[in-house]
Amino acid sequence: MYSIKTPTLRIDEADLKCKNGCGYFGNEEWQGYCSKCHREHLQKQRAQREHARIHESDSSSKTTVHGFYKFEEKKRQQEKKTKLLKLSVFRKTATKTQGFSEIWQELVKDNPELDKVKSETRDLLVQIAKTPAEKDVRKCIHSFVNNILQMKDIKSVEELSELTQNFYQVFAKRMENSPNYADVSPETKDRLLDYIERYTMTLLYRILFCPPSTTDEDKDLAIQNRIRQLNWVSGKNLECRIHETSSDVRELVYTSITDLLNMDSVKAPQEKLACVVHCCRNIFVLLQQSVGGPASADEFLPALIFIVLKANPARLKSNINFITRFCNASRLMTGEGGYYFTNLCCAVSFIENLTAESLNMPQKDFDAYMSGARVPASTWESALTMCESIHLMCEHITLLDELKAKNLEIIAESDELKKKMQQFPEKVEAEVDAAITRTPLIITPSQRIPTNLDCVDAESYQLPPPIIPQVQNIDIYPQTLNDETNETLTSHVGDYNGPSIEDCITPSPTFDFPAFDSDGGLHGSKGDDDTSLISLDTQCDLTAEESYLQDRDASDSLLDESQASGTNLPSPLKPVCSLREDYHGFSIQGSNIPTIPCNTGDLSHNTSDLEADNYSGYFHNI
Amino acid sequence: MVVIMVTMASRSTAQRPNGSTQGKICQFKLVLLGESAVGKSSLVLRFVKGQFHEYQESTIGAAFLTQTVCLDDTTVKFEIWDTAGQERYHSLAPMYYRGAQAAIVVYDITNQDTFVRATTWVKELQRQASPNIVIALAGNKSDLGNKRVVEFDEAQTYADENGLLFMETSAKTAMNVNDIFLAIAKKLPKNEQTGSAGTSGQGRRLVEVEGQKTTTSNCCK
Repeated sequence: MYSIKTPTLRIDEADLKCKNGCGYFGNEEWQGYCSKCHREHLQKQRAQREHARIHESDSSSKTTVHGFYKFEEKKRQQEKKTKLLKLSVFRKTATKTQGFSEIWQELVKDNPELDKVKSETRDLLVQIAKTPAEKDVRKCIHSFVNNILQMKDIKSVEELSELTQNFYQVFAKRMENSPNYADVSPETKDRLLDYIERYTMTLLYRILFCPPSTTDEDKDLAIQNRIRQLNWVSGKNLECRIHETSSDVRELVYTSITDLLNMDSVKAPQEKLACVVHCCRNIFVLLQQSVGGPASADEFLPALIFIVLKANPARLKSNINFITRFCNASRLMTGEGGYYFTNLCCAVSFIENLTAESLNMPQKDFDAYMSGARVPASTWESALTMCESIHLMCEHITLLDELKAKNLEIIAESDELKKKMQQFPEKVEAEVDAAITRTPLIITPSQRIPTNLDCVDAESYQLPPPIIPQVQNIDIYPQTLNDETNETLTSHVGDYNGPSIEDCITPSPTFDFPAFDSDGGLHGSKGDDDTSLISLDTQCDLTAEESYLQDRDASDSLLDESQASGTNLPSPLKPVCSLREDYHGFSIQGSNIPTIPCNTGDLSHNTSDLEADNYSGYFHNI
Repeated sequence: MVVIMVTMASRSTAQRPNGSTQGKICQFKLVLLGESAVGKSSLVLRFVKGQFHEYQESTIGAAFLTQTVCLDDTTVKFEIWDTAGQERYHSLAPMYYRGAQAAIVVYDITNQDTFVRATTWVKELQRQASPNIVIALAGNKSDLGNKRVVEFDEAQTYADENGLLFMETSAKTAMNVNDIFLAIAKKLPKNEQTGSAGTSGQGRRLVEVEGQKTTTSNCCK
């Protein structure tokens, strides 16, 4: 193995030695330890893992209270994260041969918060973009991060913390004195200082937060167990004046607890500090509601202790230590953040050193509570469960109320609909009645009949005029007969058709016609038809005129002959028959004109009616 | 000339009237100690907001407040840290007064016990706080003279013996409230270099005021 490694020349002898520094050679397979140290290391790891598992099952068995379920959930997730983090740290120490730039890249690559930092301070970066200040800031960050990466395995956390604090101070001084920052405003300088802290700490979080060289993790577990043991401590024990039953206050308590829990999920120390500040401000708001005036420290500290006890934040000690070590000391010592952070430290210290005396209760009671022999009647949890169910009930009641209101609305609407539905036929009836009364026009056709009847009556005096043309026709036909030439015949047919076309165009003549042709079958039937039908008829006639002219000529000539030979009455009937034949032919031939069979039907019907009773058929049609 | 600025809200950057006085801004951490219910927060609220039992909506807490006082050419910014007065939290007090440049120990003139507690506070501060800390003793509720238990002379003698500033105050009538803070401001060392080694942060100068760009070791003119 040694012979394989020497040619690469990348690893010096120190790297081949056991990581524990016992002097024996280490082995890559044993994570850089010698066999003996590796065994010890494994045992330690196993113990730690078991510890964590017990711890986890402990926490999961405890979550019976509904209201705190989500907090416990979050805590558990965070615990898982801790383990992951721990593993990754181990892995990193195992592969130590990487260059700093590689480590840097790895840190940057898997760090979404870093992008967040950049995006949130974009305006600041834009402000200093392309100035000597920006270049200098970059340079400072680079040298500092490299420095930390070099020192991380050599120096203790405290020394690294000192290094960081020095860096902040030096950088602040540099901004004061360096010409690079000559035209940067004091506010921007302040922000730059914040930015540098935020950026570097987010970058180096994995290395600097809860490093394996410290006992932070054990302290975390200790305080977590301690808080768990103290879960019976109520607001009354602490003399804190939180109205546990007021829903507004309860909401604020939840918010403060969430804020405090959030401390573990952000990375930069100033962000963690901001979480503490948020939490404390919420506590002040809820105290203001409970006390009825601005709360003083006399009320605030007990309330904060209470919140910490109920939140039991994950990795509390690690977070506090991280802030103390790596947050800019000048910000931590002064200002709101400093004050609240001091209070948080006080609260943790109080919890750690809590005794029967500090809760103003007899030692015997305290021991009984701590051992779990006694369960206090009015703990926050029981108050919470009760309040939780009350809260749920309230929610359900409001939900039911809403549903009721909606239901009533629906019922009202359905009633309205029903009413409308009842009204609708009435309305329709009324309208129909109105329409019927409004339109006596329907009755007027019955008046038309009298006029027709009159016409019929006036037969006597209206007859003569048609007779005259008939007489003229007769006069003409004999002429045609006499001539017996096709040319004259066609011309006469044209004359004959002429009036019928005119009939179609203007309906009024058709009304005149039946009266005057009541005897005559052909014209009477034509008058029965609606004007539209007639127009169709004529159209058919017109379109097919030329093709049928010959046939018509023949029929006309026949008719003429019959007219000439026989009496006046039968002669109109005959042409009807001939016409019918024509139409049949039409329907067979011209299938592309669908209205024609209808017409023929009507015509045939009418004609048959007319055959039976001319007048009654006419009346029926109307 | 001594002016108390009546700026209501706590500001991050101190304001000065019309920039007439040229000087620097010194920030001091002042911690309030005393038994609970002696009126620590009332005193601060009176000093910072001019309020007494007529709280504005904006005043949500009286535990941490800042107030600026103008002293000659110096603007003194007080950062006032209230502490929980209950006996059970007594042991936590060192965390609060660590790095504080001034402290006001408050007692209630109608309650002898609070005065006894005050003396223990003073002893503790003298023993454990930073050696340059300015300690003031305030006998609050002086408006309740008819119920007085702690005599003025008794307290004055005690204060003189221990080198404390002493005043009887009333948050209710505002008597001596501004005066005691001003007296502290006067007594505080305005030399920025004293104990500037980061953590102790004595009188750390925050903002360089216009017209005084260069850093001088002694700004008290």
